[in-house]
This record gives sequence, C-alpha cells and structure tokens, in this order.
Amino acid sequence: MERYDVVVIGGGVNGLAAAARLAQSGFAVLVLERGEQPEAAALAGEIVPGFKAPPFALPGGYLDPNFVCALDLGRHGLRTLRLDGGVSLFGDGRYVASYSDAGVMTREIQRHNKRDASAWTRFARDMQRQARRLEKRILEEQQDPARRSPAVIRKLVQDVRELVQKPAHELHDEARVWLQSMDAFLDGYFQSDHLKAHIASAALPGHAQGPCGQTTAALLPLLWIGERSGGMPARLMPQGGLPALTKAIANALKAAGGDIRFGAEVVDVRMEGRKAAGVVLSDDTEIAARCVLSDLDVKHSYLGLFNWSSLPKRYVEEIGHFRTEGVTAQLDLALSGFPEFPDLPEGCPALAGGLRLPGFLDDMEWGFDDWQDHTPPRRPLIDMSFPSLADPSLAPEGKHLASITLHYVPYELHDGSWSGARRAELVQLVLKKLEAVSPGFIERIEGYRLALPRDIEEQTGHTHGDPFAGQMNLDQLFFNRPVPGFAAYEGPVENFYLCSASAHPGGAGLGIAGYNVAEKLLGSLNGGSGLFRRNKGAAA
Amino acid sequence: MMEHDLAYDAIVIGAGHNGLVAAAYLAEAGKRVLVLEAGSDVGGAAVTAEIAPDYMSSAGAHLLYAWPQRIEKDLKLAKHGFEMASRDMVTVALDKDGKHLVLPASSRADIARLKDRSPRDAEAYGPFMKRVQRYAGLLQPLLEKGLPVPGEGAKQAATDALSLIWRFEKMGEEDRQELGRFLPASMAQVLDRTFEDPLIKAALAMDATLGHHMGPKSPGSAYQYIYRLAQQNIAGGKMGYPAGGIGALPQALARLIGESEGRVRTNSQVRHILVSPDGRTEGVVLTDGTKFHAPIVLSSLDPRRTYLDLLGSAHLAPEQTRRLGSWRMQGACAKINLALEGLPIIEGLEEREYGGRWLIAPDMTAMERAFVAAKRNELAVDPIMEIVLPSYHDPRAAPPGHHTMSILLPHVPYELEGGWEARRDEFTKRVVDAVAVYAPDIKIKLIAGEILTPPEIERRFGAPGAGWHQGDMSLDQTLLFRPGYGLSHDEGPVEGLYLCGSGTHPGGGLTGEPGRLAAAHVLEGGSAHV
Repeated sequence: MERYDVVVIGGGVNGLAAAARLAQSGFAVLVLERGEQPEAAALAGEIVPGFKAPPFALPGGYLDPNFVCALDLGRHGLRTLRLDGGVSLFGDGRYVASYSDAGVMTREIQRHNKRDASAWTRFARDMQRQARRLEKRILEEQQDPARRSPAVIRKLVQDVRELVQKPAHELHDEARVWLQSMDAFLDGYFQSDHLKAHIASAALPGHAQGPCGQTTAALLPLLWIGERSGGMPARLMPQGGLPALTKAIANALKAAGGDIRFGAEVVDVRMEGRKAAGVVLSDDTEIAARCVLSDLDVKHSYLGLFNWSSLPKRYVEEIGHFRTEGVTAQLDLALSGFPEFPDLPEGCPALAGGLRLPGFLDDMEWGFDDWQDHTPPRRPLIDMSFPSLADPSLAPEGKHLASITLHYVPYELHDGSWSGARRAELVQLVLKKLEAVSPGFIERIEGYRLALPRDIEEQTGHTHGDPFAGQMNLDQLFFNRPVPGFAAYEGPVENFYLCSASAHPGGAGLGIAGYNVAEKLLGSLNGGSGLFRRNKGAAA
Repeated sequence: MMEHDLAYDAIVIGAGHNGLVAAAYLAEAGKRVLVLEAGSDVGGAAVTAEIAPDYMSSAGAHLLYAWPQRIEKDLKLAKHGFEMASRDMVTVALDKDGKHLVLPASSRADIARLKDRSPRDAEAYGPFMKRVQRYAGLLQPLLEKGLPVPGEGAKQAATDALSLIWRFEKMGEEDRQELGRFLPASMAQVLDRTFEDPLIKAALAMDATLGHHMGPKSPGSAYQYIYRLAQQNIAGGKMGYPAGGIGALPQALARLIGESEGRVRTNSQVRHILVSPDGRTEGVVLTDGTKFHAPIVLSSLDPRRTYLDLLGSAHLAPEQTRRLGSWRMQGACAKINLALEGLPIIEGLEEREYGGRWLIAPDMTAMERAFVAAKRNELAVDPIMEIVLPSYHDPRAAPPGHHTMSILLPHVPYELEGGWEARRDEFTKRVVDAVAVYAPDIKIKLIAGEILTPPEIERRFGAPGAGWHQGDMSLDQTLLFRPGYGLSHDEGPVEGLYLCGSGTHPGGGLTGEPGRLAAAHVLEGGSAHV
C-alpha cells in the first residue's frame, strides 16, 4: 500500500495551498482530485471556438499578498492584477465609478452629493479599521469561546474589561457594523441612493442576504481586507482567474516534491480504530496516510465519506443543518467587439474593474425576497466583468469575453424546475437589461454559456453551488464555522481535518483555510507541544 | 396666580402608558409632577373606545402580554380602580381543520394535542422551552434595571458585565456554543432545526416577529423571541386583560397622579424644551405659548421627536444628530375592531379557549410572504393576525350575548400601493374573509366594524411609523444602543432631560418599564435635582 504523510482530498485552491505548504516543509504529500487535468478542463471551457471562459470563479474571493509570498507563487508562474474600479449603471443616465484613490473617489461622489463626499472619508476610515481587525482574526485558528480553560476565561474577562471602558459611542460604532442591516448602516453615512446601491452591490454577491436584513452590514468591511487605499478598494486578482491561481499552487506543490493525482475519486476514509489513517479510491486503491485533509465542503467531507453512525449524533445533525445556498449563476458571453455604454464618459478607466447593474437597495431586497421564495429572478443583480481586457488571449483578436455573475438566482424553483425555457427566459431578461444601457449589445453576442447554481454545484462540488461552501452569516462565521465547538478545523474524527472554505475563514480569503490547516499541522507534525502552533501572520 | 407660574418638580411630555407610569412613580415619591398630553385623552395607544354605540373594544393595544405585576403593586393600582379581568390568557394557534394548538403547552391535554399533530414535536417542545428560557434568563437582569454605562468610572459596568459572564459560564458548554449562533440567527432557522409541524413553528415565530419589521426568516428574529420571553418573565409570565379594556390602565394611572401632588393636562402640545444658558432643562413651552417650568423634563415621545423637534439639534453633538437621523421606526400594523351579534363559533375550540389570544398564521412561509408583501407596499394575500375577544373578558364591552373582536394585523405596509383610502374596503374584506375560514359564521354575525390603517394608527395614537416600539427592537437598537450615543434615559444630552418612552431601554410593548426605569433614574441620581 502506498504511504504518505498527508493525503488531501480535492485539488481546489485550499487543498492545494495546504498541500504545498506541507510539502515545502518536507512532508510527503498527495493531492487527490476527482476532476480531469486542468488543461483538459480549460479546453472544455470554450464557449465558442477561440473564446476561453474560465470556469466558475468565486465572486470577490480575496487574494492575500502574504499568502502569495509565503507559497512563493510568483516564482511558480502566478501573475497578479489589481483590478481598480468597477462602475454601476442605473439606467437613468447616472453612474457611480469606483477608484481606489481617495481623492478621485471623493470627487466622483461629489458629482452625486456634496455631503456624501465628506462622509466618504469617515466611511472609508471605519471600514479600514474593521478590516484591520478582521485580518488578524482571519489568519488565526478560532478559539471556541464556549470551551473553558483558565486561559480562555482570563482572555474573556480581559476583553470585557477593555470593552466596558470604551466610551459608549465607540462601543456603539463598533457594534453597529456587526449588527445593523446594510441599508441602515449606509444610511448612517450617505444620502445618495446611487452611491448606497453601488457600495452594497459590491459586497452582496455570493451571499444569501438582502441589504435590509440585520447583520448584513458585516459584509462591507470584507471588501477592505488587505486594502490600504482610502478610496473604494481594488481587487487583487490572479491573472487568468482562479485556474491560473490553482495552476501556480500546483506548480509550487510539485516543485516541493508533492504529488497530484487527477481522476482520483475518494470514496472512503480508512480508519484505524477511531483515527483516520488513509483513503480508499473508487477503484478500490487504498492509500495510507498519517493524516487526511479534506477540501470538500463540510457536508461532503463528513456526510459523504463517513458512516453516519460512526459520528456523534449531534455533529451529524449540525452538519446537516449547515446552510449552503446557491445564489449566483454565471453567464459568459462571447462578444464580437467591446460594447458601448453611452452613459459613461469615453474611456472611463473604472470600466476595467467591471460593470454592475445593481438597481437600488429596494431592488436588491426585492431580488433577495424572490430568491428566498424560490421564484426565478425578476430583478437580478448583474455584475459583469471583461476578463479579456486584462488577458487578451482569452478571446480572438479584437473580440471580447464578458463574464456575468448573476446574483439572487435560486437553486430550486417553487414551481417546477429550471427547464430550457426558464433558462432562456433568464438569459433574455439579462440581455434586455444590458441592451437598455448598451445599445447594440445583443448584436455583438456570438455565443453564450449559462451556469446555474446546480451546474456550479457539479463543477465545484460545493453543495447547492454555494460559492463560499457555506453561507457567511454571523451564525456561520468565526467560532461558529462550520459548527460551534468544531471551528478549529478538526471535527470529531482524529487526524481528519477540514481545509475547505466551509471552515474558517470561508470565502474571506482564497486558500487561507488550507493554509491555516497546514500551519496548524506543522505545529503537531513537527512534534510541537500542542496540536497547534500559533500562526505568525501568514509567515509575513 | 397663573398656572404657568406654578413651579413643578418634573414635567412629563406625553400621557401614553410609559409617560403616566413615570409620572405616577414620581408622584408616589411626593414630587409635584405635570403631565402634558397633546391629545384630548390619556393613554396613547392604550385606550378603550366605542366601535359602535354599546360596543367597546381596546382600540389600539389589546392585551397585556408583559405588564409587570411589580408596577401594579408599587403603585397600588388596585386602590385606584384597576382590576384585571383575566390573568392567565393562553395562546391558541388556530388550525383550518380544527386541530388547534394551545401554548404554552403546560397541561397534559395541551401536550396531547401537540402530540396529535406531531409526536416528535411534543417531545421536542419541553427541552426547547427550557433552553430558550435559559437564554431569556441571561437577558432578564439587563431589562429589569437600567443598563451599565460604559466609559469613565465604569466600575459598575465592569461588575455588571462580569456578573453577566458568570451567568453565561454557568450555562454549560453546549448552551454557550448554541447561544453564540442563536442570537444573530433567524427564528425560522432555529425552529426548523427543532420542530416539524408548521403550525407550532408559526405560533412560536409569531412571538419573534409580531410588531417588528421582520419575518421569521429575518436574521436577528431569534433574538426578538428571547427578548419577549424575558419581558414576559419580568411581568410574571402570564398574559392578561383588564376589566374595562386596556384603557382602564392609563385611567387608573391618571387618577393616581391627580390624587397626589400631580396634574395631567390634556390638549397641551409641547413645542419646545427650554434649556438654560448653562445647558440645563428649565421646562417646556406649549404650541399656544404657555410656559411651564421644572428642573426635570421626561419625554415619552420617540427619541427623534424628543431630540430633533423638541430640543433641537443645536444641543446635540454631530454624531448624535446622525444617530437620530438613521433611527429606524418600522414594523407598521393595522387594527380592525368588529362588533358581533353573538360569539363566533370556531370548530374544535374549547370553551375557555375563546378567552385566549388567537393566532391566524398557518405556517412560516405565509408569515414571510406577508412580511415581503409589506416591504413591497402591498397587502398580504393571506393576512397574519392576532385576535382577542374583549367582550369575553369584560361583559360590559357589549350587550348581553353580543361580542366584540379585536384584530391586530402585523406586516402591513405604512404606504400602500394605490393608497390606503382607496383600498380600505378591499383590505377589510380580505381580513374578514380570512377570519371566516376559521369562524364561518362571522359574516352573518357582523354588525359594525372600524378599521385603523397604519397612517391612522400613527395619527390617532401618536405612534411613529404605526408601530408600538418607537424604534425597531433590532440588535443595534436595543440595550445599550437604545438609542445610545449618550441619548438614553439615564443621561440625556442636556442635564435634567430624560427619555421615558419605549424608544429607550428596555423598549416597546405595553410594559411600563421604560417609564419605571426613567423615574428610578430621576429619583436615584436626582435627589440633588428634584
């Protein structure tokens, strides 16, 4: 039987990150990926010949520069790209553009509302402050605040002491961002409906939440993670999208002596007593390992690979209730030329960051309520980017690729299924909205491909096609992720670790869950005292 | 001597139940207190009024779900003619097929009914209630007394916070883990984990959403449930109905004030709160120019009207003005009061259950749809209701054999598409039709009725946003944050000004607690002032 130190189930960004980190530290690592070679997948990614649409990309997945450095991804072929900008169009002739530069952003807001322009400074400062705080928490293991050790109690008492000594309004400012709805929170700063919609529509995609639900304001500071600019944050993106990132990490893994095996589906976990000791593949191959990491979502990891009766009953129930939701669909369009947007000034630089048709906050709430009621979208939030602007090789010369994330698309419908006619209706609805702001848009379309949540589920393996492998509401974040009491990557099975986005920090950082698990293991595998050796800020 | 020359110890703005409770406590303590009411009656939304000659109903609020017996005893309300007609009302979740549910399911018969609907739920019910009661127990002390003020000299705050931690500690690991997830969750999430019967889920979700701008699926609604439980526990845990209707309560309070050194003056709308050059309250001016002087002013109006309209933003810090600008007052409701020629017969309902609080909410999906309809300025297809029969408790409310029915409708839009005036009848018909599904004879027995649309509720009762909370009870608008930023009842922005309405801690409902706590603050901190 083959033998490794670590076997990783699933070759997503998190699984590969964990594997690469461990391989770089000298361990024998094997990644088992059920899918085909990435090259084959890329071929299948053609919409029409010559247009290479990357497969489903996570919306807003944040790429931590520290993470890129720690795995030395630059040397393994990763090129990153700062996507500055993003424009919202409203169909009433007005637009709001994003700029990462504070001065430019303020001037942009001034066009809409003078008072809002001065409020922006306050808003950006508050967001940055929260984001700095979050960054610290993202790169650490979550302490379970319910489990007791003298150290935890001491920390708790100290935290409370500090908390009550803060002036009341500071405490309140602190709490607002975690408790308020996004619309109430934005109301506390801005008057312009256009601006509020522009900001909210940058934060909502992927989340099964509307802007008026309580605790949704907490999604806003996520945008500022890793960003130091005083304007609207830019997005650091892998050039070539998620596949390019995956490839670079895979290269790093191979260079460090790790193995990847494609077409290898894990169907069972080998147990020795109550400990995981390897995996079994669908062709009955057994592979032994000192520990097993799973990059599948938490439901597939535990409910799919283990005999339920061998797990604690409460844990099985909790995992069953873990909320995974399909909210986004992806529509890729092959365009014969770059579309025109008469509402935008010629050569608007912010367009490189994509274009949104968000509607106003009420429309987004409307869209969310329809989604919750399993109704086909009537007011989807349309978030379009042009990958071919940054990477011309994705489309034939002079032509362009548009990739649209459609938000508030239900996984299931309350009356019937996503039939061919329903899919066509959805595409028509979106195209009609685009044609309204860009005359001649429809004429430019040479082909399209629509991936609904169910299709994304098939591609990514995430239950319901949830982009974050589990929704990121407050009740499923931090020490609650994936379930209270098991937030430290280790479930009830010894030597079996969850390294997917279902674990902390979810979709708040590409590859961070995997990276954190590796760090945790390096504490124990190197014979360190506890299971966990404290992270040193992503080795930065 | 002209009356405005009279010096008072304290002035209370607004004679709603909270204003009256605050004034009554002050009067009981021997203070000379003046209550100024803009309307011609006392009580605010707590009034008993005629639907038609000889038919009386509680026009606004229609039951006492969390009225603390402590206030009754402190103020000796019985001596002033206040009496409860019923003290132990149950909740009856009506079922279309006559398999109604009675909550709290305490007796063996009630549990048997639950079991009949779902054996699994009957088993889950007891442990669930114990669990949520433990959470409510954690919250309860925070509602019973004024909140600790953080910041300088925060010794008391630290002690209070540590005592909270200690109680949190005692709950045990599983509870602690569960609570961290419970608070931001939606009631639907919590209930879907525990129960399977749609009716019991809807009945429990009703207590989490009634009066709030929330559906069962709204994040934060689970917290509302705990909050209401804690309020009910403070009150003794039982719902009740007063003899003479809800209006009997403010009447008794007003009598108490009148019989002591106090005075209630109606038709007196306050225009301004007077502030001395050194930043202390001096009294108030009415819209007709009359001035009244007192070193202490308590306002039972909502925070926004109190601070922005009556005090003026010149006395506020910029962040306080901002806070008030984004203060949310949503959760509009409507009322329909009916006069009936006989008891409406509901199949499967036992005699004593006619005296209950009926819920028409078949499942959480219907509730969520009603909430969404309200958000979209539309009427719900299936209206959600809470119904009480005032005449069942108080025979004087209707001629012998006849009855009155009070229907509270949450999740109605404040602004209706097409306008409320144009659609009043459509709405009334929809509601009566929906009641008739359970009580088919209601249409034959109906002799008169009145409807109060949200704008009318706002106007008639002075209830901003047509809700009864003077501000959403959301996570960010309760406890320390009600309204917070140095605007709460214990510490107004100018010395001597206190909030005593439901817009301050511990918030809305017919509880009198904000009034009691405000008075306690005045009396404790204020021996120097008063």
